[in-house]
Amino acid sequence: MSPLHALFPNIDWAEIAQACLDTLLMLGGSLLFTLVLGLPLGIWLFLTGRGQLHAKPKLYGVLSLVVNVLRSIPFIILMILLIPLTKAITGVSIGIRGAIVPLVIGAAPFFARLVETALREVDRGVIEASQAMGATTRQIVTRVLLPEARPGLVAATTVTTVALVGYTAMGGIVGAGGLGALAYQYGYNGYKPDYMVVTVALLVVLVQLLQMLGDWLVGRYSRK
Amino acid sequence: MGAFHRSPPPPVIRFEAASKSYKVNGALVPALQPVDLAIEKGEVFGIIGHSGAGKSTLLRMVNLLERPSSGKVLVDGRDVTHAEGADLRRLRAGIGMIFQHFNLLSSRTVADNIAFPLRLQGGTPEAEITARVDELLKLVGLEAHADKYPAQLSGGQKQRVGIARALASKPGILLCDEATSALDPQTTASVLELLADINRRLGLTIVLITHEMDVIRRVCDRVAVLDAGNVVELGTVADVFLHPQHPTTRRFVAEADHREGRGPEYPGIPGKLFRLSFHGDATYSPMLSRVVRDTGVEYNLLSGRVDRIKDTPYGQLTLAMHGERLDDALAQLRAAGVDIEEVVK
Repeated sequence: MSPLHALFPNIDWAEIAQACLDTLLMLGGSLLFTLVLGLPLGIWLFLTGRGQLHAKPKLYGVLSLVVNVLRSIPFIILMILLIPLTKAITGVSIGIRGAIVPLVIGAAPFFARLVETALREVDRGVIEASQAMGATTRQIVTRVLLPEARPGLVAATTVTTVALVGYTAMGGIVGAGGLGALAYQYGYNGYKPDYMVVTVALLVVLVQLLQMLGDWLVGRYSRK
Repeated sequence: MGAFHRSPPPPVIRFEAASKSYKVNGALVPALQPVDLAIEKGEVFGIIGHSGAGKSTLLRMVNLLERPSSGKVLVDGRDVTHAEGADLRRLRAGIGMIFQHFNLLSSRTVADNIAFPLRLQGGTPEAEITARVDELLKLVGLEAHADKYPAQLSGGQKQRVGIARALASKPGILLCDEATSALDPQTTASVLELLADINRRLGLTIVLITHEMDVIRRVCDRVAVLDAGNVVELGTVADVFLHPQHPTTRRFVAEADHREGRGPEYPGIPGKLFRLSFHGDATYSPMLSRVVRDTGVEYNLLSGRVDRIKDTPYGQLTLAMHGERLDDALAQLRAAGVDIEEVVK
């Protein structure tokens, strides 16, 4: 009998491995779509904000309200509310694919707000200087704002990814699979505390690794 | 128009009753009263004023970072007040600008910062860009720093990168927004020397704004003094510096002479007080001693300064003079080109 088995008598390690894979798949898929949707939304929020390049107070007000509403709904409620939409998009309402829609809709507005904040950190003088050189808005976004805000954007991505880890675990409760589901089903409902310990430990390790990677990238891209 | 009626070339920049107001909480607040001003090709034109006087607004109207609320802006004789889109970008590509806080891209190297406007504007082959960047690095003396990032440079070096970047697309006009205000005096001197050198060598028109009369004195040909959104004085630097008329101008000149806070009071000094201003060759000729010898007047030197306005020497002395032939002495000095003002005790 291996010491691992002695310590965690109830655990099926193959199941843990599958849950890890599921969590990573959910995380990867939802992160990809969160970035793809959240980055342009964040840029849009920034540009239309007060005193910015394309200040449009009314449009900004509407965008900002939508973002706030989506951010204020607890994720677990959001998942339930979004079931019809999830079905329409993916054909299923549970499982990894089913989880990705609510994960993205929960995380993209959050990420967009962080993007907006990161872009606001870019020195206004640098934007003015590029305007004085005859840059178009598109050039200002792609060649000035995004590169100058890169450390902030990487940090925003890290925070969002960590938040998504938490969301995926919650997704487990409504049948999305992954580590969260194991913790809930076996650890809580099945009263197998070793499942709880192992899944939580794995989630802690995952978050820790993500944060370290994010911090390393921020350091790499910082020029200030 | 025939050969006999050739009109002079139009000024490089012309403001025609250009004004600016901002809306603050629904109320219109004037920042700049209607300004009429012509800046000639190849000159170094200074605009001096305190913060909030409107100088930054006036400077930014040239490349339309600020649009006039009324009036016109003409560049090279062309009305650009309402330029938009590609037209506006072309105008801006022909006008370089440097800033108080340099405004370099922190994520790009020195070489990439300098190449930035060329890459933005497109159409320049990469090999040509590299050659141009090398040439500019040499011009501003930063050959050894091409691959550094702005954060690795000193303030003076950053401003040199700013200057190189502003010159990359060979503009005809260079706008300087408080370009030396964040620099220490020694670095200020070297950056101003570089600007003067560029003006001489490239024939570039330079418009600079500052709140320091010393900057104006060192590099400018002409100066406009702005006070509360109005041009209160305009003229050659020598005229404005040696004979300031408006109270604001007088304060600026006093600051440059380090006389701030000291009133022109010399109690108990016998004789009348005069301020003698020399400009050009007269500065170094021994006319004062000659006149004193000839007329037998006596004088006390109370304060004085001999320096340069751009490349021309000048001197300004405050003297207490007395003697029987005082009027004769003053007349002789005036005849020799010395400007004399009596100072009220």
